[in-house]
Amino acid sequence: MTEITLSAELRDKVRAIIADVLEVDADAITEESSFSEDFEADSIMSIEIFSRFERDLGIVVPQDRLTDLDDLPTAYAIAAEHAVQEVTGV
Amino acid sequence: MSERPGRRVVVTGLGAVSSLGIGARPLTAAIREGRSGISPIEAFDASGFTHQRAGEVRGFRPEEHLRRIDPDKWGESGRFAAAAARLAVTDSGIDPDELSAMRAGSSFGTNGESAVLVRLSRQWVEQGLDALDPAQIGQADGGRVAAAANAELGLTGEAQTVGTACAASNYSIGYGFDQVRSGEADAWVAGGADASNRTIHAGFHRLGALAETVPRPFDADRDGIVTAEGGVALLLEPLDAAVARGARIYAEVLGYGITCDAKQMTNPHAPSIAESIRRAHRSAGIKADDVDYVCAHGTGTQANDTTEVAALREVFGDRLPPVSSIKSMLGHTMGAAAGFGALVCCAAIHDGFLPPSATLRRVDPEIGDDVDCVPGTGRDASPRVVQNHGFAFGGNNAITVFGRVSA
Amino acid sequence: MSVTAIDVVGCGVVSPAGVGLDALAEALGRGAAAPPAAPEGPDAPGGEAFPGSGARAVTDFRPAERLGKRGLSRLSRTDQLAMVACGQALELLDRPLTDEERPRTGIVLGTGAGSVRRWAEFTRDTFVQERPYMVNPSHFPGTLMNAAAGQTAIRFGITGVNATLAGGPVAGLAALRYARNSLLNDHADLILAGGVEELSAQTAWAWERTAGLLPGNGVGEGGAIALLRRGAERPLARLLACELGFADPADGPSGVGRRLAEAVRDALKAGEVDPADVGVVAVGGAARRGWSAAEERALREVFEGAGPERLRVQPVLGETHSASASLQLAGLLARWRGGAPGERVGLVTALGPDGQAGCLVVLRG
Repeated sequence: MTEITLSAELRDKVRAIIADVLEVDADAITEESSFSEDFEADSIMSIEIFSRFERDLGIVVPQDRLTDLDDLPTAYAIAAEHAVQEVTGV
Repeated sequence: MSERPGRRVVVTGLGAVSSLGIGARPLTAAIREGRSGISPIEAFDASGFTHQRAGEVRGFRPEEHLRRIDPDKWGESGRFAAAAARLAVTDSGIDPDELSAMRAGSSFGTNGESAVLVRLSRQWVEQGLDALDPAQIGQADGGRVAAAANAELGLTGEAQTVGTACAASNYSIGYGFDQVRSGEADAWVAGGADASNRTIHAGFHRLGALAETVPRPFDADRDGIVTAEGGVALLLEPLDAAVARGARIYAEVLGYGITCDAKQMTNPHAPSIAESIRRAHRSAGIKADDVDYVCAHGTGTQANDTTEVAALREVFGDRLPPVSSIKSMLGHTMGAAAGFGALVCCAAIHDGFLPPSATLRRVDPEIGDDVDCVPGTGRDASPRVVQNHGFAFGGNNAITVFGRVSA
Repeated sequence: MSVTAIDVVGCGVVSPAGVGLDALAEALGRGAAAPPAAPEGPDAPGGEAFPGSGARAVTDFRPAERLGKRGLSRLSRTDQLAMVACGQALELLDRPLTDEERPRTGIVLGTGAGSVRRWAEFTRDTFVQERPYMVNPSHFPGTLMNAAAGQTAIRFGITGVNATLAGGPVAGLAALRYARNSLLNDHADLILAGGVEELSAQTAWAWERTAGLLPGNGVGEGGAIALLRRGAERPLARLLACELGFADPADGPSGVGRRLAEAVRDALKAGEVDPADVGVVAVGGAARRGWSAAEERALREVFEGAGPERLRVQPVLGETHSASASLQLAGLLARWRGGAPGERVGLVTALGPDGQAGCLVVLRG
């Protein structure tokens, strides 16, 4: 897990995108929620979430990280990791 | 299940327009050598994509192959289908005039006239809907793919275009098999065609399903598919008619099986694939032990290859026949893919070889190192019964079975 | 009974006349609807402006009510129309499908080019987004022609033969013929077969730009799904024959029309029906410039004169392209619900610019 953290603003945006893709209220998604078990997410929705990161937030998640996304902490971590890489050009 | 009595159906002509050559001979020679048809994309502007390679057809001049239809009046997929159909008929040695006078039709699997639809979409984006080109509109319907083949050959029977994505060609072969077996038709051209285009490329790109360089089906380091194009056709006729005219018989079509996962649109489902294999075996009147070779769907994605082998294990247990993927060389030709598999199966039976998984370096341990994926180049062998896989988004699974006809 | 007959035991239909065969019967009874108009508000799919010549949308479709709101945006309108029509047909079974029946149940749909709007919008993103692959992955399956059949299979858990046939105005007959083949060769016991076409500004403009419609006609949309099985006890109708043929479209409508005449003769012969016993022909080309005349010439040739009455669904439903032949069959079934007591046999005919022509022979149940 990366130590980089997201700004509160970016966390809200990440959560809003996930809520939008899963078609649930943002408030319904907690740190403990399982996207697949609680909201019937499937693999293509995970990819939709990642692609929305890229389109809406400019956060590019590389293809080999396009694994099934199942919870909010992982989403924050992946977003944080690649948001920073984007800025620093690593 | 009740067996419907019918005629035996054989394949007597093969035609291909592919990244590995035009005509069945050059294609099967390249397959045996394990050559690659993957190259930088030229069919559309691939700038901006991070993956810019595809299995595209080079040096295809439709007018050199098409005798009746005007290539300018048909889309890319239709031209591939028509040229492959013409090549198959020429290869079969059947008199083309006699063929067009017979009760004969065609069926082709495809995603449709994708390249035409891309041009129309671009006109909408750049000029507006009121500027759509009427000539392109007239070439846009999917049904024109089999229609092009019928028009090229002067066939007056039905022209069935199957739009069941990447499994479609096995549907088209199964349908043609039923038509000839039941006596509704006396000859049939079955195959598939699809053209390289940015929409399909973008879709697989976005799914993270495109390989960095080449597809490596069954390999531990496989990372996806490479989009590809081409046209393929098989001439089917009754065994008796083929024998009577002294035709070269590549193989007999023994049967086919179809199932639908009805689970999720993009993930393959092993139990449903296994059931389609069992149905194909029942339809062909064979047992799993009879199968000497499996021409896999073998796309080179993580999900497909693991699931496909799991399904094979469900049916074959620990005695898997050799399994290989010609997509390692051709890439994924979409609606034509299962047709290319069928063509290579027929050639394998007739010429005596197993097609390779050309790019395989190390079999994925998850798949199991007991699986013989025929790495590298083709292997001399004498397969008697082979099965050919085709799966699609939408959960569609279709398996065809071919067998050697004893002299 | 002929060994090649297939029975229709139910029919789901969604069209500008409404949902269900009764709504269709009522609309056909009233005759030509109000002139087509540019669809507005919730009935205007897509948000692009329609051409001024007008169109006929499925009004009061309310997919969210019928299919549930969740996941709806991932389904194209074609997917939605197919799911609603198939769901309706399934409800007409005397009981729900059992788990034993699902693997022996199939879905066979006719199409033109799938959901044209979904393809166009998805492709638009490859041109206008920052990078060409920045498309919506959830919309990718819907660009494929087999999406509606696959989505419908998922919705109802139907795991048997699942096929999509592309054939423009003949697609409905192509699907019936494929389904018939599957039933006769024992690949399935029960099949939902038909055609679906969605309305969009993209397709409406395509008709406009090719001047494809006769004056007074509009582009329509809808879907009709026949529930088919072998040897039913009390079928709605029996499909005695379905013949398809082809003529090179380079020879124009007259060549395809001549091929249609042969297909009608072949179908009557295969169905062992005397032309004099045909009470009605549901024609496919009625709204199409050039093709209506070719179809009429073919029918006059076969019937040696005007022949039976024509059922024209197009003035009521609009030109529905790949759904047309299925809606023509639905039109026959709707007509026979209480009406036209003397009619025993009806035909569905179709022909199109790609060179295909076909005829279905329908015996009233």
